Amino acid sequence: MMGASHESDPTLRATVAAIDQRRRARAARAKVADLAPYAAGLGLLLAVASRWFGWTVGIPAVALVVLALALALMAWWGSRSQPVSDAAAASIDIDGHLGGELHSAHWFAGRRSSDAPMPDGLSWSAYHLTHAAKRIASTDWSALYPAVSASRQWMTSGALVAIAIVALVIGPRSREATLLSQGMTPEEVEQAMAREMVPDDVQAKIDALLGELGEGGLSDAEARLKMDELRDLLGKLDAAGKEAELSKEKAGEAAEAGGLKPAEEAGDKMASKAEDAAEGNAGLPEDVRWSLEDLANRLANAKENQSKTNEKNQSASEETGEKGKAAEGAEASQMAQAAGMQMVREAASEGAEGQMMQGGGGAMGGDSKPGAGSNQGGEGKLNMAALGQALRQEQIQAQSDQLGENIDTELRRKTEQSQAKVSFTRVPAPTTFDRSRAALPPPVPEAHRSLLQRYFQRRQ
Amino acid sequence: MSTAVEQHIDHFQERFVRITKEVGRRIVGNEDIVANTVTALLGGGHVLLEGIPGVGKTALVHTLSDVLHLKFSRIQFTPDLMPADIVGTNIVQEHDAGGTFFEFQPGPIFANIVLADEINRATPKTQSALLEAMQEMSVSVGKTTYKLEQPFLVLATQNPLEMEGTYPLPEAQLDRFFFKLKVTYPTEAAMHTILERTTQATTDQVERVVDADEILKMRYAARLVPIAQPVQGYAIRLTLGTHPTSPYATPMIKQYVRYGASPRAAQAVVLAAKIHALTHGQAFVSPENIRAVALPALRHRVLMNFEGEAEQVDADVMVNELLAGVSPDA
Repeated sequence: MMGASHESDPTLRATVAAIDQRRRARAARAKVADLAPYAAGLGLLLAVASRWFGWTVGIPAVALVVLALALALMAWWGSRSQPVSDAAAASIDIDGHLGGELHSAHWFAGRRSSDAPMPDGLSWSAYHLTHAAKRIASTDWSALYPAVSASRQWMTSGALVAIAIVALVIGPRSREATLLSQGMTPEEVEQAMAREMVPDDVQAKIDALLGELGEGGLSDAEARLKMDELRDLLGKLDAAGKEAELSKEKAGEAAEAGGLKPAEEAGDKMASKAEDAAEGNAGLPEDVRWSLEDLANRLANAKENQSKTNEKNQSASEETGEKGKAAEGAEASQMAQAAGMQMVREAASEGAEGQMMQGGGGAMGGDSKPGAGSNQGGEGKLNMAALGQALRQEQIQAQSDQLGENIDTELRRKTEQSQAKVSFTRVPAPTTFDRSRAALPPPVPEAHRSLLQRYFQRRQ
Repeated sequence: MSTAVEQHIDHFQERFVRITKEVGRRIVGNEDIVANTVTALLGGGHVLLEGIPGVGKTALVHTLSDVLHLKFSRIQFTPDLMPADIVGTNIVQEHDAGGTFFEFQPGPIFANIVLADEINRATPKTQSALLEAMQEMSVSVGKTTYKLEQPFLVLATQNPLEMEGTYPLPEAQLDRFFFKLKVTYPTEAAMHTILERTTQATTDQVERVVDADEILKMRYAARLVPIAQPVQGYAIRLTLGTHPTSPYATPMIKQYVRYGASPRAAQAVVLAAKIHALTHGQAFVSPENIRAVALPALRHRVLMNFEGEAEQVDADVMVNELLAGVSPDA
């Protein structure tokens, strides 16, 4: 078949390449036009965010430019000149309804003809190419691949970009961004924001509570109740997690105004333990840790009377000969209860242990009496009230436990709620013979019997 | 002024249309069967006609032989038919001067168009007598090989319903048929025409349109049609796709087919596509031409496995699924 009928036909291939380029450019432009509003929308979002958070204007500007460049690059990449693949030629052929002629001719145009010439010197493939070129030339490709009219998309994009520019200039700003734009330092902005966030009535209550605690004239139980009240107030300040930080700041201000320095000077053992316990909670969130530290400091001032009680408890324990872990546990329980949620839990469990180890009134011990760390009725009742409050708190907090947030594993939570259980399943070994496995296969259906027989007969 | 190629195309197209029109004067409906039969003749192949009795299979072959001005013979296949009854035999003759000699007496296979009626009723031994004739276009009797006259076309018919006492054609013989055509039951309108034509005192006479030389020229012209490699690749993918292990195979083919089509099937597809292109005035082969001829060229070459036969899955479904699944673009 290899003859010299015709050489490859670069003209036809160039024509097809031009058509293909037009087709690809159209598709790329349509795609860019579809994507442009999204890019402009992204730019608008960035502009609004930049304005709100007080970022530099360069961020949305650069983003808009980059997005515009990316779209332009996409359009150029789609419409660049490149060799026409066979699939592309087939696609153009289908679009032009040429019945496979362009597809076939494009392939023949790329190589030397191999068929024998006819009497007039024109081979079949040469005739095929000539005929295909005529049909390609007679096809209105500009009508087949018209220019992309995406005015709506471009108008939308332009409008979004314009809105973005306007938003950059006159868009709304956050309070923080406004303060920063007024020349305040970030620390000053933070203080101002915190001051603005605390309601006046809450601030007044906190001041009053801190004042009462600072005076030190309260009984132990009253002091605890006040502390609880204070904590509740602090907890209400900011649901978003800033309450601890804010309370610290306010407590610091109140301490300076209410003269709590004497409490710091007192520095009793319980306060230091509370501080240690708070420090031991290094894994807690920063705001909670700050809150605990702050409360520990306040507690140090408010526990002067309580230290006396502890001394009595200690002497009582010495009488029973059971001084040690039980008393310390009860002591720690009281401190932790005042120190915060996490502390309350740990102290409560230890307190229970201490309670069980306490002896009764006799020399040999005896039945334990109610009271954490004490077998003396009056003090025990007070401690019992505090312990009851702690347990109630724990119950409330346990109900709000969230796996992965404030508890480590599901097992622990179940244990706390007395729901833990251990179970196992025994699977007996298969010791009996399953007769169904030895059953005969189902019979061949009558409809298939003749086919089955014929199937095997044919292969004989 | 038209070129030589254009003249060839026009001539081919005009003759093809005349043949089918003339056959259509006697055969009602089944235009695609007529066109495909002529295509197989021009492609140098043979045709297996399948249909229930009375739908005009034999009449079609008779009419075709009349239109083509070719030598026609008919063999009614029966279980007791022997190979010698088909190819011929050496018989003893006497010289005028005395003495005897063997003289070859040609069988009915020595014709241009051979109607092998109910081919599946003969034994495999007799069926195989056709194998050499169909493929090699020659017949060997004793030590002598006799060339068959060209064009040579075997039109075999078989009844798909009566399977008792039949010998289904082996795969090797099926593969030698260029096309397998299914003659369907005529429509109501076609039945009217059939009755009007066949129950009157006169019958339509057909005109002889082409002779053997003309057919051979048309065969040659069909082979000149160029086919681009991507289009040829489509035919190859379709052929390969009939094999259950092929990456082009569809899920049904993987489930129900034991063996697919042979390379001879791809030859038939391409050759038939070239003729199809010429009949549509094209000087090239398009994927559409391939698709038009793929079903009759592939359906009898798809061999079902037991599951396929038990569920009576039709090979046409397989090929149609393949046509839908395999893209013309590589």
